[in-house]
Amino acid sequence: MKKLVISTLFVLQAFLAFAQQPTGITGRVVDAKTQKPLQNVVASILNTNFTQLTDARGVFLFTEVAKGSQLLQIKSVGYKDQMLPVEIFTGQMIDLGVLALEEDQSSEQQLSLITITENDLGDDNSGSESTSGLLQASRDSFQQAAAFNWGQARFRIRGLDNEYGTTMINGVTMNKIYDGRPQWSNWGGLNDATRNQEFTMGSSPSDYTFGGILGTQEINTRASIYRPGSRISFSGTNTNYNWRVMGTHASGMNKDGWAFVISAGRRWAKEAYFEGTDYSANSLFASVEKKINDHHSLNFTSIYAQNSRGKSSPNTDEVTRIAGVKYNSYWGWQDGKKRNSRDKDVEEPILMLGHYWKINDKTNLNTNVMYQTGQIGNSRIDYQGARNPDPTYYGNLPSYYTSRYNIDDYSDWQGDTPENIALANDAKFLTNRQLDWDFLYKTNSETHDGNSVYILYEDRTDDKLWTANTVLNSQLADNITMNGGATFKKLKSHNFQNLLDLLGGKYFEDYDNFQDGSEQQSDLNFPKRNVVEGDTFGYNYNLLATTFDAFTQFKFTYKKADFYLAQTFARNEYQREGLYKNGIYPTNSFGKGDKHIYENFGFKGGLTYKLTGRHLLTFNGAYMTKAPALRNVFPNARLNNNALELDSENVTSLDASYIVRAPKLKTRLTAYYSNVKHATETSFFFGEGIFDDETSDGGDAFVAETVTNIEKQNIGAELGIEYQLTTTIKLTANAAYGEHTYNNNPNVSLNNDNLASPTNTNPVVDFGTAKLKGYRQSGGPQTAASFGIEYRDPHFWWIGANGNYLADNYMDVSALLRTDNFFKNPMDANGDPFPEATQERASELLKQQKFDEFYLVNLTGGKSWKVGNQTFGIFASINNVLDTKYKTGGFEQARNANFRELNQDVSSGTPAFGPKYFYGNGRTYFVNLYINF
Amino acid sequence: MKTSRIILMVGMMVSGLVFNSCSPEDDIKTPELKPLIVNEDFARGFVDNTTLGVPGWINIAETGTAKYKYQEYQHNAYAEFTSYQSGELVNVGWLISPQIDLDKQEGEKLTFEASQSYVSSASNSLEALISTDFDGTNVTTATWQHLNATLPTTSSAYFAWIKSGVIDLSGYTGKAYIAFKVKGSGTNTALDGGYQIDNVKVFN
Repeated sequence: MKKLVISTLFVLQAFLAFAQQPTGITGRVVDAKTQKPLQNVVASILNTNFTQLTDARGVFLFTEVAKGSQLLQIKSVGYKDQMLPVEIFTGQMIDLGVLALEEDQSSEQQLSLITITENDLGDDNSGSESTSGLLQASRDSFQQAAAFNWGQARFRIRGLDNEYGTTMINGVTMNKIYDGRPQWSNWGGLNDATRNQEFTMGSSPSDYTFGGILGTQEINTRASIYRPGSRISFSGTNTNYNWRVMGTHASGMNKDGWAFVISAGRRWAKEAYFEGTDYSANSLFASVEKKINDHHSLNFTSIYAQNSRGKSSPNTDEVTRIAGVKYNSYWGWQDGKKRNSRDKDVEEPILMLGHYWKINDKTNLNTNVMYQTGQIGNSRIDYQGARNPDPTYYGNLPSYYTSRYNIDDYSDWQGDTPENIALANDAKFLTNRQLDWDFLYKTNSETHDGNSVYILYEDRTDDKLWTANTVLNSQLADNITMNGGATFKKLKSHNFQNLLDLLGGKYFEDYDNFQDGSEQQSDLNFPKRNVVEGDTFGYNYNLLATTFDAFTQFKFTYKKADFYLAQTFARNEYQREGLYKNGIYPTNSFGKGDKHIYENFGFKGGLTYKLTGRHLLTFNGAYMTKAPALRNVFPNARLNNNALELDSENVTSLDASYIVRAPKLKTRLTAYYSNVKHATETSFFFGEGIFDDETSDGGDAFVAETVTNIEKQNIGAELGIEYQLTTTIKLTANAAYGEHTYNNNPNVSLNNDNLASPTNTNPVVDFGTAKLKGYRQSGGPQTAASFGIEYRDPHFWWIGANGNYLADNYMDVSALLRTDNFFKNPMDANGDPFPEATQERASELLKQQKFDEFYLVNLTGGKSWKVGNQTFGIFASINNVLDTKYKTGGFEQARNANFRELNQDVSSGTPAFGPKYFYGNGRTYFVNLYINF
Repeated sequence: MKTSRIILMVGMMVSGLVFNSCSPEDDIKTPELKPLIVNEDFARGFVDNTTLGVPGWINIAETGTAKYKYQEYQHNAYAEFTSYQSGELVNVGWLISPQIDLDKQEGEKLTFEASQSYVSSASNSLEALISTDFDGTNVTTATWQHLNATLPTTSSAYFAWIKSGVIDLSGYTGKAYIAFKVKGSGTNTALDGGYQIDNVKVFN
């Protein structure tokens, strides 16, 4: 989608034609407020290769432009884009005169966009964020609503996960090979330095990549394109952090051909919105460019972003009822301070060298080499033969007693006996809600040899990634542009368990106390090790990946219609290398496993039909196959080399839009359809009653669940309307309606380490299909609507308000619960169903929970002053003014994996294993003060 | 005008796509359940060593006062009849299933498990019976036919479950009852053994 705004200043432009001059176009760009010339503004003639930066006087000049109707785009970070239709005549130099750029308020607002990019949903160790960050900085009214108004409620455009979008820095894809998602923390806190961004939506074409079906985001850090100047900002908020300072300086290109940009930021909080969530992030950015001659430039960018924060727990309704929405079970008091046991630490610096080669006026080649290394750690407490320290452990909650049944009579609820009611009223959680660090230290000090039975460790991922890519952009003819590119990546990802804190003990015995004999050993090459802080233990392996992809794209521009065609090929090679010889899998854990190769291709095309200059119809279609993410290929990577024989995903996307670009009214109405086949989801949990009861443990086990062959179908419509009521008042109305569902019954299998043996090195149990067809996908509201009004005073202050309605957000359902195993009585030798099971009750128990709909009201405002050569500004926003409490997501605990256990738990009225939920922030504020000089 | 017609068409396409599709929830099915006609594990209403009272089942003492009781071993509940220490000369006990409509489906089969404890005489007997004219209360006026089941004998190990084998009920029609009838004596120690019944299933 072209997110371009036709300038309201269009009428002011003087068209002056001089005879006997070269064919071309020139103009001078100034700041609308200060009237100062603006250097390094990007001027480009759309659908051609003409792109220039304005010089120190703000001037740009194109010559040798093809005659006819052209669209000139003027854009710069922090300012509103301008689009000017220009008619070029042979032998005439058209002077557009002075073009005044207005400050873009949404760029200030972006700085307040914290919640969607820096929270992660769920207890996922992948290290990546699962919410959508592809929303920022867009000019499209709908996308702005999706980001600023609905993002806090975890709305996802078209219901698609980030892995279907492509995020790039200088054309280099930043999506991780491990899970396909970008790690936003890698450049967090550098908003000013990463503000040069280009977006495409859906499968529409990007100049840099073939992309996915959600869209692309390209961050450009080439030093010469930054507007020279400095900026310092200071912010206060009560969302993910409390304070932020940022400073950025851009030099502009000097006469020797050097340009540089530096930026630094710090964000921190002792305790952010949810209890015990501390936050500390430091970011540094430097980019330097040397223009060697008119054809060659080199640019070097380095980004160092270090981020450490305490996570917050999803909670059951019971826990929230007792302890409140902000409750977080992960922290506890230690020496008068709140200490969080689940920290996420990210530190993955990026070094990137780019070569810009202007081969001729019509062809550019940009080549980059990137190296990224560093570590991601997610900490948690481990315990060995000691009781679970989680304060919300089910045995600590009142529901443990009130959901009790007679052990001999499944129909005999005993939760209401005086004895159980007394025990429930005395449940530990009611008085001890937080992690008891002192108890852990005390327990460790009282063991037989001073060894720790409680430790704090982290799941670590240390990546080393080399990327090389090249992107070609060439104007083949007046109306044909070609883009092409190729990317090569080589990843070595070292994954291991790292001991952080012995919590007062002397050492930790590295063995699995749930196993027997040699199966207890994590590494048979070095068995019976005692480990101390800083040691690797438990599991230790490398994931190796080599990927290559290439694309070509042709764009055709004609008077009545534009269209494009693109194709891609990709090859992914994955391998696991075990560094430990695991006791459960002695023959298939150590050393390199098989290579798994996926070869994929994609095609896409689209058409923009211009009904008139102001009314457009666009159509986009894409079909591609997509390699499974690395994480899904090795479902039990921590312990063995076993891999799933997965098909590549088949991804189809179609959309059609009607667009109005009138001076006062901008509207977009889009209908979309996407279908993803052969998708895979993996998860770990402790399940009860899953397996046959051979060992009289009720079939309980800690298992890895793999759901394969998932088909997801997303159908819906998007509407964005922006209407300039008067010169100062703007109205916006946006709506999204989607039906994002599972469209088939995928396969479920479980890996159970307890069933492994010398003859069974791949203890996977097939559970057949799960009846998921018709269930909604989880992950944000599927219905959203927004109405906004904005008043913009000529004296550089503005204020805006919007009201939003969000609905149709659904629970993440457990696939395992919906297999035929659900009815199977593990106590029955024939595998016959539970006698009490009925289809009617099952329908009630398995009905997908839909979260309550809710309304959000947000206020924003800002003002700026010019003092001498400096601009001071303030931006403030209050989100969720009405302090609405709402659930943003939740998941079923698969612990009660069969009819009887689920029926008992639910029928008790106080389920012990009810679903866990995430909550949105209540009323929050964000205030930003800045100075530009 | 042509333009407006196209706009209208697209608009209709969009709204058609979105609003005319049927609700996805209509597609949802629960996992496959093949309920058994009878599937009784004698856990419902369980109180250890008390008179059995599983809902729907009939527990009758035809002679004497001893009735089937709930028992359990390692949290597996079952039904047991014994005349041991009843103090009565003759005990005859019946455990009768809920009514089964044999006309509702075809090819019904019966399985159950039984074991014995301290049975030393064939006269201390267990019988598996079926009736299609039982009125729900009066066992003696009903016609009971023997079912050809594998049952524990005097040489069977105590408390060792013996599978009945698959008993074909397809030859019977109408409203049927399955019964487990035990005869014994509380005064004759040669006849005071007990029988245990579990996992009574009728299926097709």
